[in-house]
Amino acid sequence: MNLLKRLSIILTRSVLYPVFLKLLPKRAVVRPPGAINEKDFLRKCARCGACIVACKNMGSGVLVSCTVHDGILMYGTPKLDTSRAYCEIVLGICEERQPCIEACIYGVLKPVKGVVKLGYVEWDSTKCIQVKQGGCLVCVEVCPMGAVEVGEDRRPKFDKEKCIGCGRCVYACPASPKALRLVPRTFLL
Amino acid sequence: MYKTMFLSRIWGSKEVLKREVRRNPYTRGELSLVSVIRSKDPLKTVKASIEELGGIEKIIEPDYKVLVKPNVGFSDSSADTSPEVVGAILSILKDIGVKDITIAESAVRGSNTTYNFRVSGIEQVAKKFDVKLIDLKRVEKKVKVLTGNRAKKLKTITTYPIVYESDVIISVPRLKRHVEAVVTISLKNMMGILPDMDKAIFHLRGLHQCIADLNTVFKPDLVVVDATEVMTRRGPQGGDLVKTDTIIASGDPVAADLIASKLLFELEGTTNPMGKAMNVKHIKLAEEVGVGTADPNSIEVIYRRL
Repeated sequence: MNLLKRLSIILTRSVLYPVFLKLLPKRAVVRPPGAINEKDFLRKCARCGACIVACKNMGSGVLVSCTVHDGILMYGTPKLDTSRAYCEIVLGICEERQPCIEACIYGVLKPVKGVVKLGYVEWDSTKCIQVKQGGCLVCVEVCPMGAVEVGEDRRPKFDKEKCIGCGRCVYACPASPKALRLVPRTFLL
Repeated sequence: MYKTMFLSRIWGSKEVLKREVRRNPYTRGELSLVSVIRSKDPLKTVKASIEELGGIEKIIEPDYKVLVKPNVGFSDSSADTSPEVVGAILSILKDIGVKDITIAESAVRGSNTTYNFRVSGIEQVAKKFDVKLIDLKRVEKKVKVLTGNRAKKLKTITTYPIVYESDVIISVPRLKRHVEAVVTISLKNMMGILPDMDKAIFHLRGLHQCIADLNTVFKPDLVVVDATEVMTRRGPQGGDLVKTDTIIASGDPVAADLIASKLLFELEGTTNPMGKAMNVKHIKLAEEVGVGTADPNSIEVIYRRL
């Protein structure tokens, strides 16, 4: 019995899990700061939700758990939801102490130093208020890194290199649906 | 579902309140006064600029509730009102014996007000003078206030009870350039009393007209523009800073904005600064809805150097 249990665990870990990883559909989500690579993340993360609770209590409350729509394997893992808040790790209250990283006991979120790049922002010109009617440019106003510039045609231009993916512009965007989207920098599987 | 719940929380109450706007007491005949004072010492400069107008006793009595509204919208001390100027105003208020003083701000969407207070140094000043410091974004209760009868686009304004209950509003903006509103001085500074949701509506409906409409009901009674370091060419953060050591004060927000933006365009090296300042849309529209005067001939400017 014990042997059967052990065998099944080995079989799941070595054969089934990689196959599921490849086959099942997944949505590219932005992970909290200090996250290790996606493959190890899914394997190590216990889906305990400690980082989400810590972010809600001490941070801005940007972290939520992935739903089934993001993928069956992703269910319960943390992601950034920029529609409700933005990440405060750069120029914010979480600069000195990162509650999400401190809360993680499984080694999925590692301590970070310096500038953290969570992802970058993609702009959809068809939804943008500045293109449609003018009088917006909130994204330029709020960017703490100076990554958004105004071109001569009065349209925002997003610098992918300077962008850190804090999600301030996405949160601030007054368009509905939002004209901006936060995209992870690397989502390799 | 989430969105409708959120909306009903803001616009749930049907009670609409009214607020009376006082007339500008700092006038000489028909002309509204604006004082432009230059000096190295911020405390002296602020004191002199208010005394040139006719003293702070004209608008404030010791038992009034006073709201000081600095611009602490960004987590960057070069983009916020300097704490020395705010401190100078607080010390003037304490001198005449005002007890109920509040500093309140709701920062830009996507910025943490509590953190901004700490970074800009306003928190230390508030502690030093023992006044209330309120992060408006953390206040749950909201009230709806009717705009003035000449307002064009907005009928009501959603704001916080602390702002509505205050007798006198003192606006302490910083002289800065702005991407969309061209300049951000006292008229634009009043956007910092709105909840996040309403700021988005301002952008959707047309920013310039909405700023003018907002000022028909929440008009600052005294404007002290912090132009000690002016942000030119780019803004509202990350522009070129020019040191001028100037304080501009007035009881008329439109007149103060006109003179301040003229100074800003002069520093940028524009050929016709006054003409460009008069072309700023929200200053022009604010005059149309009756907030103040934007005509250079009906403004008396007092220049002094200490």
